[in-house]
Amino acid sequence: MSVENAPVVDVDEAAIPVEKKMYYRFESNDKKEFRVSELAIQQSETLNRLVEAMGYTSEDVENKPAIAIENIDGKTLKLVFQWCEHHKGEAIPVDDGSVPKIVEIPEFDAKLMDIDNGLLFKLIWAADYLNIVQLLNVSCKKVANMAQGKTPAQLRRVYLLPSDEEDEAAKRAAQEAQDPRAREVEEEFEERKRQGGNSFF
Amino acid sequence: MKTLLESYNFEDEVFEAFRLMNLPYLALEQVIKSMSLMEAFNLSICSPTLQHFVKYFFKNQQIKLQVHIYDGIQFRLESPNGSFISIKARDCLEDLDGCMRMKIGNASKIPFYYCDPDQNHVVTCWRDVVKGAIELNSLILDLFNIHFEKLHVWKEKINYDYGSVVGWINRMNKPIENVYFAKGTVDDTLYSQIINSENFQKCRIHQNPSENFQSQEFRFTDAHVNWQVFNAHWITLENLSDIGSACLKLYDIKFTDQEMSTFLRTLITGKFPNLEMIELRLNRRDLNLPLIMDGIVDRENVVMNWDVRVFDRFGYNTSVRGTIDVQMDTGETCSIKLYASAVYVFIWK
Repeated sequence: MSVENAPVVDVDEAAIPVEKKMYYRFESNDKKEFRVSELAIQQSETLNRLVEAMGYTSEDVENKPAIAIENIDGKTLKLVFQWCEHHKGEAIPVDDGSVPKIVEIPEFDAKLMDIDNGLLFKLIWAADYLNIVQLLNVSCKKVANMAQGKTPAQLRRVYLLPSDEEDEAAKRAAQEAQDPRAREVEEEFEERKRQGGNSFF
Repeated sequence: MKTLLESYNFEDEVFEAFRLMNLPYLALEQVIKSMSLMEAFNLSICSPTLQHFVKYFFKNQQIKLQVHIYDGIQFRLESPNGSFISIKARDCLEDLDGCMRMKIGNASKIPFYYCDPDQNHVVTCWRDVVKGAIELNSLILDLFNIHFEKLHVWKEKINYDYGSVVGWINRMNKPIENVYFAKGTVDDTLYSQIINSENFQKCRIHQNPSENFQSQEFRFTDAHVNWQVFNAHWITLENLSDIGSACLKLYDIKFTDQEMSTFLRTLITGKFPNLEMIELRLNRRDLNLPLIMDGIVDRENVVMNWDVRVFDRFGYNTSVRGTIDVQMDTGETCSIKLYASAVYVFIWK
């Protein structure tokens, strides 16, 4: 995709200062390209370090290939960059360690995250991968809010949690995967028990 | 294509399940840490794995626990940011049809219901209330970093076996900051178990043992930091021969004038190094003040101290004036305030 045809994240033009700003180009794993302001990139620790390390000039940004983000699709990346543009220049919050965490979801973020759970899931993965602290906070808060007023049985369905039996079975399976002989030993033991043997040996 | 499990009708709204356990670790941590105590508690009983996560993510935050024992046993948990939940164990309701159920500790299908719109108060129903409380208590203590702030017991409202309650309280073996036993007549054996508990730092006991109750071996140890015993008619001079407490208020004691004098003379020797305040209220109003102060002060030259001093320790804020000040053998000063029915002593540290 050429730079001219790249979908640009909606930016409030009036809000852009007159001085020339650098816009980096990123490409999702489904080859969608995005132009993102330098200030917006600062919300992502991962991307910020990446562009710093690359040391691109304004010309490099235009002439070199877009920076590929291999494991995030275009739909998710668009949300990520919309969020970064809206929150550019804002301080990155520092975790004060308090639990339960108090996180307010701003109106813009709430609208942005008015998406299906599949996309929300991808958005959280992207926020985690790109290390966007506040986006991770608000998106995780949205997931936490799903638990409000739910009983344990309802939570199992909301979060697709395994039942006690499934949880135990998964643990056993994991143990067996580590020690394939365990199942054989157990079966052998059961067989000997059926045959009435008193001792394993 | 979504499976039936992944998409379902939930109170007339179609929800798409969120694969919580597939989130990266850091995100899962953020989700659980953003939950209120009730949500985290409910999540923890969904699976042993989640119980482990909740426990791990909440371990650095001290949660205050209050236990109220009356017609049921209520656990009130409060986080430092003020959010709270209450979980109560009560006896089984007759009609449990349609009641929601959950697994709690080792008990399965325990009926429960919420009793407020915010769902901060959950009531669980048990055939044996104390066993239910034991399950809840061990779950809560395992899950959260608990500071046991309060234990309040209303004996007269308890309609289940009080012996089991006392046994459980004693087995808790966890220091409790503030304990209150409301009035009510109790079996002497149970009363004895309560007063001998070394887990109650600050304790008010209004309960009433029998008139004949005695406990010759009982002493206020340094575990009995700040105690008030109403109905203390059973306390003897022997019981006060050694005191590890800092503050004691004993009501309705049956000391003779001679016993009171002996106690005060022992006190001024500095035998009770932790003691800062003691209030002894008698069951009569005819204390012979000159007699009880005999040998402690020179009766001909008693000087009253009318300066106002404030005893501001262990939660008290008492103005002290009109006292007889006595130099103790330790060099400390104690102020003795005498009434016809009570003696107060403040030891200034």
